[in-house]
Amino acid sequence: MERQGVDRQGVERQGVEKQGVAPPAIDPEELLEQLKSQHRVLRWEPLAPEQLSSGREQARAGVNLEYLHHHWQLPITFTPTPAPGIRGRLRNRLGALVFRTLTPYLTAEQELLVNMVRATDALEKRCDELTDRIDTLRNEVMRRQVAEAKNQAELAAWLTLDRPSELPIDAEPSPSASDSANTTSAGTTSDAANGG
Amino acid sequence: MTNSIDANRDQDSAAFAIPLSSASATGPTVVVLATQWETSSEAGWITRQVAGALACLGTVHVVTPGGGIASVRTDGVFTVHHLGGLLRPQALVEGNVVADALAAVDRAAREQSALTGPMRPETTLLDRGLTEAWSPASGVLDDLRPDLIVLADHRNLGALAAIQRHSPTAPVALVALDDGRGHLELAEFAPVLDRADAVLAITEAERLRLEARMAARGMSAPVTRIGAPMVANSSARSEPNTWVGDSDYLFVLTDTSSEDASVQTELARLLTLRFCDRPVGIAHTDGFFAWHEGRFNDGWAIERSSDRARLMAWARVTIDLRHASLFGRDVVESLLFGTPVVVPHDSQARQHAHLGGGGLWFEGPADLTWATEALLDPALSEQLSRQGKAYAEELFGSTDRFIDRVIEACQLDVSDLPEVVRSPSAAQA
Repeated sequence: MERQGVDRQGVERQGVEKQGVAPPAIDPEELLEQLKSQHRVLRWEPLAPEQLSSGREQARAGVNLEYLHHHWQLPITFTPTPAPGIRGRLRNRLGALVFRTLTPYLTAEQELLVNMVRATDALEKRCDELTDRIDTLRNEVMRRQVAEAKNQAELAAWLTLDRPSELPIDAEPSPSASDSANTTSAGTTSDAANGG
Repeated sequence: MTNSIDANRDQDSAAFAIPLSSASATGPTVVVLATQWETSSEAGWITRQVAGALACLGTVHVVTPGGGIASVRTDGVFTVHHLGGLLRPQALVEGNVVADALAAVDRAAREQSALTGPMRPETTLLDRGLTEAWSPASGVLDDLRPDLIVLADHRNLGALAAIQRHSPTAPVALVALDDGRGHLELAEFAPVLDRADAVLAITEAERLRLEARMAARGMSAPVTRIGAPMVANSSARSEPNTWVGDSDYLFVLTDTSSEDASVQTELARLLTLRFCDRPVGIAHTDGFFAWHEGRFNDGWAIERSSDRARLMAWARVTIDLRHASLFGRDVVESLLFGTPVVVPHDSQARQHAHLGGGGLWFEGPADLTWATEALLDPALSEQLSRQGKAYAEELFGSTDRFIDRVIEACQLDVSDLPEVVRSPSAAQA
């Protein structure tokens, strides 16, 4: 078939040469072959997407928060210790007096600590939520990138196919073209699958 | 029907030099049978050019169906006979669709059976809506008694029937107008070829197709390549189009709208992206779009041939994304301006790039960009420009040579006519 095509073109050219037109110094057919061979080494492939994040990076600083939860309650009342003698009684009285004097301050201090711990808890929770949200968004963006890359690969494969109007109805794409499509998009989709 | 034509032809084929029965100082009477008498299509335009060439020699009557009421009017040097009645516009489209389908069926059958399988039965679907419109033509032919009948289009079965009713032996020259879609191979249209005493082809590729088909049918009517009368409009080089300027721009021709989701529109868009560093002028059906560095200016659609010529004359490369309906008139015009071309590989216009060395062709988007990149190289562009221009000027660039070829192809015996009428170009020289 190809041979016939070449022969036919040769005959056409001879026919034109008979009309007095010299053969062109640059043969377009040879030039096209040369261009194709030059460009054949260039292959386009979509950019491989970044691997998707696999674990959450929590803001929780475990030891410090745990300490806060265990030590937020300060002593605000005096607990007398049984002690014999005058010295013991005197110490208990003095302690009770001091604590009675400082109780309002210590209570306020404890309230402050309670609220600080609660605020820290809330912040920690919010940080976790935001981290989750960032991860979700990043994964969504990456999934979108993967889809875009896959789409670009399909476009590249489609652009190298014959025009649809030339394909018979129900025709399968040519093996080379479909192979090319698979090759081009396979890397991307498998990366996505691995990452996702 | 075929047998009777062959029998009649045999009587005349010994020496086919058409004697002028009504020879006089005014020359022969020629009747052109054309389904459509217009110049918007390449087929209509070349039919008119052939008629014009013959009008240099004699009186040319054009017979065309349709027109509502039967009438005779003057159109320049031609007398146009409208046969009246209604020629449904859909009839031509339907005929082409059926012919395309049959050609595809035949092609598939040939490939599968390697020319040995049974052929399908002939169909009359192709005649529907077209044959009847030609019925009054035989009466017009009887009245005019032409020395030569020129039949436009090898698919014109209605006109053939009218010729047969008028005179089975009248000399007939066929302007084949084969567009390479495989209709030439259809058995339904073979009687038209069989009846022709001379066949006129526009390009070398068409001539070879016709010769092959005639040989397969065992017919010996001469097939002559007549080319087309085209000249590069000299005023086109006087001033560039301001939309794209006079720098090295690409001129892209499409026959789609800018909003169509079509291959042509996508390829044009690809060109604007790939060659964003230089102006790209795209002629869509809904406007002209001049892209440069990602921005575009749009204007009215290119409708005047002088505007198109101006854009081609100043362009670095003409990229015709359309599939030429007959021979790629715009591509030839571009070559006449010395502007190399890039065309689809399956377009009839490819032969000009291939045989004339005036450009390149593409199969897919990658080829399109490589070919365009290559033609932007000044040295290569210069060489292809020279080659293409020489080819186009030799084969298409002379009206006088076209007239001579048409007269010679129609084999009119003009020995009795004055020299100035017999050979206009020689007389002019």
